[in-house]
Amino acid sequence: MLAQLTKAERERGLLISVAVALCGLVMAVLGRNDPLGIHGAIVILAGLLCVFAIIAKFYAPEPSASRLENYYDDPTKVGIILSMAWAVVGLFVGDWVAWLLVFPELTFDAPWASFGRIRPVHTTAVIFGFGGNALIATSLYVLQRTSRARLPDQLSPWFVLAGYNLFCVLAVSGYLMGITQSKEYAEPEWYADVWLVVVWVTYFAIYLRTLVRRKEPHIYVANWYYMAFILVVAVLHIVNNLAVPVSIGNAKSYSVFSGVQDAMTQWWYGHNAVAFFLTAGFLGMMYYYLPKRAGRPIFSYRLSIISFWGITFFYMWAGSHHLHYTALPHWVQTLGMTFSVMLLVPSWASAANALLTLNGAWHKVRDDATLRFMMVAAVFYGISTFEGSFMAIRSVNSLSHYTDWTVGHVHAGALGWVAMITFGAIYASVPWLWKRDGMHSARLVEVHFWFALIGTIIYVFAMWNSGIIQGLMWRTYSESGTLTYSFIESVVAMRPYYVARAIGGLFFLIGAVVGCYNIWMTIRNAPAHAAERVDGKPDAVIAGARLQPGE
Amino acid sequence: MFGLHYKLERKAIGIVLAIIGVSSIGGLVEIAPLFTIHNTVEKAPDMRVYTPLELAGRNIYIREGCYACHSQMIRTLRDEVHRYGAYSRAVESQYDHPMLWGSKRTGPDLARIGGKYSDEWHVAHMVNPRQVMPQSIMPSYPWLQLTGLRVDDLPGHLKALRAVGVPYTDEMIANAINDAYGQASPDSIGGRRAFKEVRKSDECPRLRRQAECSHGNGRARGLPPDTRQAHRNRKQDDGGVEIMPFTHETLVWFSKSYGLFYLLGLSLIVVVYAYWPSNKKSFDQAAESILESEDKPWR
Repeated sequence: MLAQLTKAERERGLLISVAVALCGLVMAVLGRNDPLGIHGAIVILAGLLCVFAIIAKFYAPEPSASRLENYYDDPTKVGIILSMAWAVVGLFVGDWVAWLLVFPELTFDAPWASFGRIRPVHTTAVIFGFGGNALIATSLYVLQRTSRARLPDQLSPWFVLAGYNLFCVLAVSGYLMGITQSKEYAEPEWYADVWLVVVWVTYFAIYLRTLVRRKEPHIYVANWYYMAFILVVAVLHIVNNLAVPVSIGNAKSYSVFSGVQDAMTQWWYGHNAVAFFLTAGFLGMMYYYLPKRAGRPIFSYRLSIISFWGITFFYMWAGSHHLHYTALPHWVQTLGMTFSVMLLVPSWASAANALLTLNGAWHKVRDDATLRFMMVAAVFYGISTFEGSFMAIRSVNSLSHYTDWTVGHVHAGALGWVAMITFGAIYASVPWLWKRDGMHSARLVEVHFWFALIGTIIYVFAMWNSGIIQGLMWRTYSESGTLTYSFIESVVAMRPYYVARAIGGLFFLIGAVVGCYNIWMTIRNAPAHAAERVDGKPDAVIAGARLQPGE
Repeated sequence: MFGLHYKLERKAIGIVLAIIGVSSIGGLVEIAPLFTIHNTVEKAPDMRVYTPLELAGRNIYIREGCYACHSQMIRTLRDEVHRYGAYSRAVESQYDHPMLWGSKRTGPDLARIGGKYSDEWHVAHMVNPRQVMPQSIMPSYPWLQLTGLRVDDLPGHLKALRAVGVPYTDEMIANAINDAYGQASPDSIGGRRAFKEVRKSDECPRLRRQAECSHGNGRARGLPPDTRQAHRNRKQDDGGVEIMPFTHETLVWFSKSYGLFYLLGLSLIVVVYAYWPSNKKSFDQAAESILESEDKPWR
């Protein structure tokens, strides 16, 4: 794959890798008395790995100019594989922490294995590892197709992909060592945050540079969503992570915000990470892959534009609904609640737009599990956005907040919407990318679909029940005016639901493993006439014999 | 007007700016005033900063991810006040960088846990929670007993916190290490000097966490009256308000005037753009465009 890089790109890549390794060396030396030193070693290792990978192909012949006649899909391919790998890791760790709540002794008294340290490993691995890699991979795919333009260069997408995964590795390994900012979904410390900014700016530059080279004057709406995702996540990430490190050789930093301002900033970030990472980005995915797979244009293009601006505008106000009845001023809570309710309009517009696109293609939904993944994703998107608006109402929130209901809501969105649309998009793109007639086994896609759906339903129902029971037990008064239940009684009452939740998660994990196997077999079982491409010859030579994507 | 939009679109940068413009407003309106409106955080003049040892303990709480299961924010609800104590006030987390309000109670709220149990109970509970609470599902933390605390970088921690606005004095920073030793073993001669003045409320010190007097390491003598509550209870009879407070009424007024116009204006622009007749063609084209064969870049 790296032989496709031009000589100049190889040189630049080598230079960057050496620079990264040197940064790692500085971190390792300055942080030798601190966990930072271990991260320095990881960075050195990552840099050297890239150095060796490039050197191995450094003297390969210059790629032919005919490569420019095709889209550049190698980073997308690697991104999809990484995404599935992170999915298995993240789902496994998630199920592990779910069992920890049933069998608390499973930590084996090891510091790294306690719930508080591996729970962020789960969230980061699934949101940023699985979701983020899928977004980067599919966005580069969609960007090129909808712009009819090849990526501007071949090095920067590799930089983004490798750099982003280095960030994920630093984040996840940090939690195990106890390196965390304690800001939910923004736990990585200052140096990892700085690195992510560099990566993200490069990512955005790729997007702009490709769009400038596009053929059509109009930018297809999927790209709007992807761009909102990239841009707003950059703003959120930078503002929420503003911090002063203890010293340059210390992993620990202190947030510039404190108390009530920090809470507001954190949930402005937290909720809009949901909005622009887990919603806008994946809507971009949906607006390309769903019409494409169904073979029908989006039901209403105008509606997609209107809901785009609705989501972009309304979501940013909604974060304060995480802080109802707290020390946050009342007026901010009210604003958050109001906009959260209004948010239902653009959200349901998007969900309806997706489902109405399938009118006339429902027989395909019946026969094709890949399209069914996307259809169910749209349904869950509708369900969880309704639930979200409902839970943001102050009086509902008084019951639901701090309980498992929130966890159930998040997973209805994360498993039902984000993961399902991603699996759908991945199953659609793998045959297109690797030039196969279809997935290795359509039956296994079907198996994955049912495992995923059953797992999600078990999970969400378990958490709805436990959350509402928990909330009610906490506020139940006896006739004499005292609280009826002690806290520990509510913990005991949760046990059956925690078991059910862990089983639901296990179903979902098994589905993802089946998916990995299926993808692996699809890639490995090259059709006989495609074998010649392994030596790096451009696809163009044989592309004519292949099915066009979407057929 | 729509020729202009066409150009903006062509350059892609137009959409970029529009996204930034439209999306930043919510955050600005909600976050910026929290820094400027004086009654967001109540004044508590004798609210003191964390001692170095308390800070180190807080960092262990962060390191172990305790915030994933415990909140430190008692909401203004009757059952929470009955269960956990007086509802949490903004001033209590004034020096918390970052705050640890939490979002989930797999375990109970800890905002006012200090002083509720003995130190011996806490040690036993940390080593094995099921020893003192058989049904507990909290992880055991036996290694905490065996792990030493790094104190040599405490002055650095205090300096970093001063940089973000916590009023540590030079003297406190210089004596941070001794102070930590002193607080950990109060009978030694090393430590307490540096924080003696700060902890002037030693005889009644709990009030950072609980509005009653008990033994422990509190950080403020007492919480001020809740101005927000007072404002809500106040009748409309006082005509001359000296400073314009940003209250619920202000918000309602703003929402019904500028906010409403802004919202309507924005919606109008979006709808007009989406339904502008001459845009129909390019939208239809765009919707169809992804379905065409597109296996190659256009140039």
